[in-house]
Amino acid sequence: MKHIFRKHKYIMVFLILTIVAVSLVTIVNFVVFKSNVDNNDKSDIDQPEEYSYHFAMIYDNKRSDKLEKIYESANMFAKTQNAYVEIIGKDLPENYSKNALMDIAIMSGVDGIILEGDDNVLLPEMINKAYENGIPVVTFMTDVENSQRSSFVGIGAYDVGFEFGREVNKINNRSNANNILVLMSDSEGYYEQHTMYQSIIEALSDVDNINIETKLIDSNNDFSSDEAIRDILLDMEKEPDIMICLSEKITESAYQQVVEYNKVGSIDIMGIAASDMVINAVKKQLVDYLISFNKETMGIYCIEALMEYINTGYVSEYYMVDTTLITPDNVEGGVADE
Amino acid sequence: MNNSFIRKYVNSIGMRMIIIFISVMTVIIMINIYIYTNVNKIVWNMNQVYEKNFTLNLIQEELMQIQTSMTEYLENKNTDSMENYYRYVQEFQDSLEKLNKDVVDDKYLLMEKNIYNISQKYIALTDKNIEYKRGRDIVSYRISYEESLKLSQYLSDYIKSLNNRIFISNSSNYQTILAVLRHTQQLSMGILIIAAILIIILVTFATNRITRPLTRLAIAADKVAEGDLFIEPVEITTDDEVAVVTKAFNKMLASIREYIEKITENMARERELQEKELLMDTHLKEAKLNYLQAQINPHFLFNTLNAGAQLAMMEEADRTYQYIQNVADFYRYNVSNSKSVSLKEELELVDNYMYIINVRYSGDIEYNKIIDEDLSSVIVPSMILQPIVENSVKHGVSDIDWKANIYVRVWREDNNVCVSVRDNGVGINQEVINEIYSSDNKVYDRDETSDNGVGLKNVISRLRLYYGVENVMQINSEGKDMGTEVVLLIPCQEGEDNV
Repeated sequence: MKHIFRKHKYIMVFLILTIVAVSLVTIVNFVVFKSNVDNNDKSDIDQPEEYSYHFAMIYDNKRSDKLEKIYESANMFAKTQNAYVEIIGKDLPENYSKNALMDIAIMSGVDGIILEGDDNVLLPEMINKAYENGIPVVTFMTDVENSQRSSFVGIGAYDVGFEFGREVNKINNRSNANNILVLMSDSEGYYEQHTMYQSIIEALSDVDNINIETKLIDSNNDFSSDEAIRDILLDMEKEPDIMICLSEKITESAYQQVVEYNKVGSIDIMGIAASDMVINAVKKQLVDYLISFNKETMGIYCIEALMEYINTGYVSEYYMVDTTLITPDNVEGGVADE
Repeated sequence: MNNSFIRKYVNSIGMRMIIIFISVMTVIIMINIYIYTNVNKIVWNMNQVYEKNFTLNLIQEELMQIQTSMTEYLENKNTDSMENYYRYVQEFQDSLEKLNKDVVDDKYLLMEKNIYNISQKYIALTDKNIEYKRGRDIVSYRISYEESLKLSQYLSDYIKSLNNRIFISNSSNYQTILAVLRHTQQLSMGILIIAAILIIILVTFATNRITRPLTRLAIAADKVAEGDLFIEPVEITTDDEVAVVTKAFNKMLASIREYIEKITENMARERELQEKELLMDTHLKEAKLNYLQAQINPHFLFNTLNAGAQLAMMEEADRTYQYIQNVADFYRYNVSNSKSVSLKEELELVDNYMYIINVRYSGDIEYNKIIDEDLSSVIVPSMILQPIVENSVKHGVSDIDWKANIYVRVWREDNNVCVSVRDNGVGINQEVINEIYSSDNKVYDRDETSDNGVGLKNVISRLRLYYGVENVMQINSEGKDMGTEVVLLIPCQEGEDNV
């Protein structure tokens, strides 16, 4: 056989060259094919991971960075608990209400619901319906009172209010700012805002010459809060020295309007940290004081609450997430990154 | 033996061509299979791309049909509507089975799961509606109907949304597949071009390998055809049929060369022999011509002499008869055409001659001979002895005052038969002897003869040609009037040793 191979070595060389060439081209072809497919849609190539529990997360503002972060944190932690969190309604063409989304989640047979609470009167009914269908509901950010929700994950509204009050006191001592305007959202956690307001009052109870005023801001639509704050800035007889915003949306609108109407420096803004834009405003000293909380912790607590309920049948009523103060003094130190 | 057979078979041109053909075909088939498989895979992928969309559209359609047939039944309580309803539900269920039902970290698959679960709730609800209608429970089916409408709306939205998103995703997949298809086409073309180049190289190389030895052989054969036999042997590089033919060609060429050399050698030898023979004939003929010219029509003469002899016998003139008979014998010998004769015959001729001469000169010349009879049968060229005797008579003893003697002696010495003719005449000086010796093998020049034309030179030339040796004659003379002895040295030829 060796003799045959030696004699016909040119044919052997030819065959080897051809096989090598075809193999090379095939490999290149495969690599190019795979990279093309990977570039277009990874989900087609990767096999999806399978989980035991399906949780639904329901919130209104699908574009909110904060809620997005909470979801990511929750989902990441859920995966470690063999569960997957889906933002119900995110991919639906219709902008369904929370009630409808609750209904869809219940009909979809999820194993648990994480709900951003609000003051909608029908929401407790939907929570109760879920409960009746054996689906535990954990509310976050804003609690839904009078419902059969399993647990609530949120920030300590009383503490936040108290912090605002102390800061107002400091400013007052420094620059004699005594006109305080507290802005409250008409669509976000009435109970929490009210608690915050109360604690602000409480914190400033010993301070004289303080004039505290409240305004309820319409924040149901995308730009309604902007419009309402503009009206306040233009219509008020006397400009407030300090504006305390008790919701993220209002904080953002207030900041934008103060900049828009060139009130920076004359009005101090305090608020709830919402987006990076507002945190950057602190860095530029356009906003004086923000209350922030750890979104990751909030997401994790939501899952923990659900898992505890599923595993044991009961769970703590409240999960409190720590808050952080963001001021121009500490914003560069990475506090806001939390 | 088997190995050598296999090797021979594998190395044959036919087998090599088969191997080349099979190799080329294998490559072409492989490439075709490769391209065909790739195209098939792409076509299959293209089919797969929109399969989910088809399913979702089907589900959507079936959902509408269920809703419609249920509504119809609720409105009319029509049996057909109910049958349709159950049929659609069954089809709907079948289609739903194609959807994902697991909790996975893929939002589209998760949407499928939601669609499946909501659909199950929806069917449960519509079934209840039918039941309520049958039970005429108007309140329940009104509420339930509202609920089912709501679920139907959810489902429609879900299906539309999922369909839309999968379509967008599929569009990009479709683009990918199209790109891959284009890419595959280019690569296939590339492979084909590479293979074609390799095949061309292979076929050229293999063909050259087969034809190069043939071309070399053809060039060599061409040269041989033009007459150039002295070319280098054709180089053998293969182990196939051409190699066999080339080997045979080289061997044939060598044989032809050897044969030609032999023929050339033989021809040269033959030519030499013919030349010698021709020269002999020429000399003999020359001698005879000279003799006959001198003797005037010997046939007529010797017939006449015979008639004279018979007349003398009738008249009882014995001496006349004897004389005429001798003369007649003498001429008879000369007219015979024998090239070679026995020494005895030569001696008899000499006897005849001496008899005639003695009659002519009245017995003045004494003629004696001592012959070794054993040597009388030695074959010698004709007409070699008589001219020598005649020479002795004419130049040796014709003009002497004393008694003339001529002695003929034959004896054997070493390998030669020696024939001596000695006279006691005037002798011969050395210059003349040297001149006679210098006679070459060339045709004897008649003009140089000083006698009847048959001289010593002629005899020397013929003996030299006949025996192929130089030393054929010794001429001894001790001086003036001391006589002359001419000794012929006739080499004993093979077969004559015992003579």
